[in-house]
Amino acid sequence: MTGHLNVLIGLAMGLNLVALGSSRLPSLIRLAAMQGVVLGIMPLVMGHAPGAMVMLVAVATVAIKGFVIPWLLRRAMRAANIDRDLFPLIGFLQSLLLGAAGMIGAVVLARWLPLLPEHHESLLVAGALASVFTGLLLLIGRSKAISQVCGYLILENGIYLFGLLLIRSTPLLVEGGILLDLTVAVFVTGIIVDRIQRAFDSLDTRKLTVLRE
Amino acid sequence: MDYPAILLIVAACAYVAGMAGALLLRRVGRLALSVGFGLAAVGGACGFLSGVTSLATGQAAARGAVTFWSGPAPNLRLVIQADPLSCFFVTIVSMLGAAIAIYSLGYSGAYLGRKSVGLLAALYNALLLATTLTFVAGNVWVFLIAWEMMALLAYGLVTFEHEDRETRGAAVFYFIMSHIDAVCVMLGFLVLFQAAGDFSFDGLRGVGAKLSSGQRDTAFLLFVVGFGIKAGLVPLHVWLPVAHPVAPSNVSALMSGVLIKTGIYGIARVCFEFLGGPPLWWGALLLALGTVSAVLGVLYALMEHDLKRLLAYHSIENIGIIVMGLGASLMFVSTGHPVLAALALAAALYHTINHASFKGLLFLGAGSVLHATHTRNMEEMGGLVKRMPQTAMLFLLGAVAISALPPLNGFVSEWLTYQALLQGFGSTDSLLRLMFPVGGAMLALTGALAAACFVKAFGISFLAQPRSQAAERAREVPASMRLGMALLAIACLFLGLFPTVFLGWLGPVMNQLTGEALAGRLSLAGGWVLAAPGANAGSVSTAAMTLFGLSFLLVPLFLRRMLGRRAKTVRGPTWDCGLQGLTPRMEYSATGFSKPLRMIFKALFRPHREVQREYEFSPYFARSLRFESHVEEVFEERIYRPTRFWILRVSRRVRALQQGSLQVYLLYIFLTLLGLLLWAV
Repeated sequence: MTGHLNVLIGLAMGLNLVALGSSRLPSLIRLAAMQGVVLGIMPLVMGHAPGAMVMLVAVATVAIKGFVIPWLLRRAMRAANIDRDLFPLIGFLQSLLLGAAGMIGAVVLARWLPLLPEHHESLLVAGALASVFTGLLLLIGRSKAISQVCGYLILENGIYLFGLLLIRSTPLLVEGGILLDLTVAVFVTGIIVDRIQRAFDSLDTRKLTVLRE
Repeated sequence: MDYPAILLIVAACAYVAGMAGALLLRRVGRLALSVGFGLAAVGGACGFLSGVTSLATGQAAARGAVTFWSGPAPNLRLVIQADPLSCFFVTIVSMLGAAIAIYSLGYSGAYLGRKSVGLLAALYNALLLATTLTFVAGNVWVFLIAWEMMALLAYGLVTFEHEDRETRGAAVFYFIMSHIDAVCVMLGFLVLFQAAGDFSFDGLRGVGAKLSSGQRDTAFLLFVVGFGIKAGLVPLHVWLPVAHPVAPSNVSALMSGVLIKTGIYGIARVCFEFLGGPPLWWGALLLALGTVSAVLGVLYALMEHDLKRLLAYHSIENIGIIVMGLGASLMFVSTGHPVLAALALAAALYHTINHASFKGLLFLGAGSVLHATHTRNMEEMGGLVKRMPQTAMLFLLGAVAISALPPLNGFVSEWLTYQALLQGFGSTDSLLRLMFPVGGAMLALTGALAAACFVKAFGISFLAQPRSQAAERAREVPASMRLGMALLAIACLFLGLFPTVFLGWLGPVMNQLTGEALAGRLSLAGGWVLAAPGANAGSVSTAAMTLFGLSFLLVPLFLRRMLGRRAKTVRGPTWDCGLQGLTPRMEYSATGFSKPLRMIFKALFRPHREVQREYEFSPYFARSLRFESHVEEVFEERIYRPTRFWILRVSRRVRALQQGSLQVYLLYIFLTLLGLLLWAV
């Protein structure tokens, strides 16, 4: 069973790298959505007979991460009528190299961490760390507000992976918390996107530096 | 509950009512003023009665602590206690608070229509309440809450005339210093709490024995810095001559008279009660700080020609004298001389109440002069004794008291300090005993310089001819202001003439702190003569001195009555050296008066002067002359300014972190998280 799960985690980690390398906003949103779907499937392959609650969590994750949030983002993108190029602050090649290094670091780090013996052979922790790292890298390295939302999404996916370690004991709590966070984050960013657009006629967060003292 | 305790509660209620009333009526300025300051006067009177009766009847010593709110956790309760030390300080704050409130009824009238008098009165009541609460706090929580409230409210009052740029700067400076002091005091209490496990003052009593000597010294130094800032000890005094003069004069009087005494209260409470069993160097350090403060305070006062700044520097001098007494007392405690310790402590405490009364009086006098002439610069006053004779007489009385001239109260407490210091030399074999005679000599120097300073202050401000239009137009101040000053003058007189009575009432306080009440050991001849205990100690009677002096006044009067019937009085002009009439320009100026002392102490003052003369034929017939002179303020220039520059430079560097870019902030978060993760692994 860990085999299936590891395949899915590997897929998610691969998507991380593709996200770091993609240069267009629509493809970034699509990648985040795909990763959401992959994550949504994970609880179903984690062994044991999936209970009703776990099923619910899986369906909700796929629906929200895979469809609702990407739809919101596409709408925002169209409404703000913005340029679809990403203007990286850290170049795509450098991002890819950093992402790969981060992934290797995550795997090494996961071996060091004092985990329960049953989690030792799974890639769950490594995948989680790698996704958090990728998300942060996207946040730091991309300047558009919407690409930053994608960074948040991938970061949250990493946290969700951590949450999967606990899904057997407290499924609803973990997942509910994460989804709530995410929805609020998207809401807030939606408002910010609107404000930045109105104030600066652009979504480039670099222009916010004029606000400093 | 005994009746002084009820009076204390009445006082607190009066302050609260005064605060609320003044705020509610703030739209009707005149009414807010009467209600606010009227209730403050009532509260002060109740507090004064409460404190005095508790001390005089000895009820304070028997009273325990009262918990009036036990919080959610065992250490979070609020406790009030009124032991002898608390009662003594409550007496001081209430006495001064009541007198100043009466004075303010007239003084604050000048703000009507210009500023919110209701706010002034409300803040004044709140400050009195907070200060009283500081003194009756029964645990660390109440103490710190009241301490912070006091600092905040005093800040509000200092900045009352905030239209002035100088005032705002001074207020911010005061605010920063009082925060540093609060931090030190808090840290000190935390060190004590570690050993005691209890925040109540009862639990902290004698906690010093449970601390290691390193912890004890740390706590002591933290408290000295914290309370020293509040008290205005050199070199922590720099805020005091800046903040006290810019506040409204009634507030300056309260700040100089009482607020800085909270530092003295703190030192007395902590060093004697909590830390206990002091090593010799603690007392020596305090004695040294006190001596330096006393001498430097009066020297800088001599150089001032701003009347209120001059008085502020004198506060530093007097705090120095009080701390000398405290330091000597601590030294006697550690060398095992309880009687001498009690004597030095009595001197310090008596000087505390004396300084409160005469410094309050002098600041109110300065406020009256400011009220009448609208200037604080002495060089623009002069001739006021003719225009406001009663204020002048009251100011003169305060000046005599602060100069430690008999028979007024300043003399009594400084005389007691001498007695303690002079007997100190034989109290120990340690080399530190040399500090006692040196301290005594410095105290003598301080007294002489203070007298010189007040000859200048009174002479330049009140005597001779008016130096400006404003001084010429000055009028006597309203009756309420004169009444407020007169009450403090009466206090100065009584404290000076009947010291044995009041020192007897201080017995419980000394018993509480040193275990020796000195009961009956200070008075001879039925209380008419004040005597210091000890083999070669002296004795003095201010009442007899007064009678003696009065009899000298009576003899010539009598002789003139008997022999001078045929003599007639002739009034003539003042001799003018043959010139054509005297003008104010020929008068001695404050700067000129203090020049000899400026030259003697030029190593300290580093006087700087600049003269520009324009002439055609000879330098003796100048067409125009520009003269500028100032002295260097050593501590500001040598310690505080470099520190400030250093802090600003570091801050500017640190500000480079503020990029304004979202991505960079995220990078900071990321690096922090990464660091924490690696650290945890």
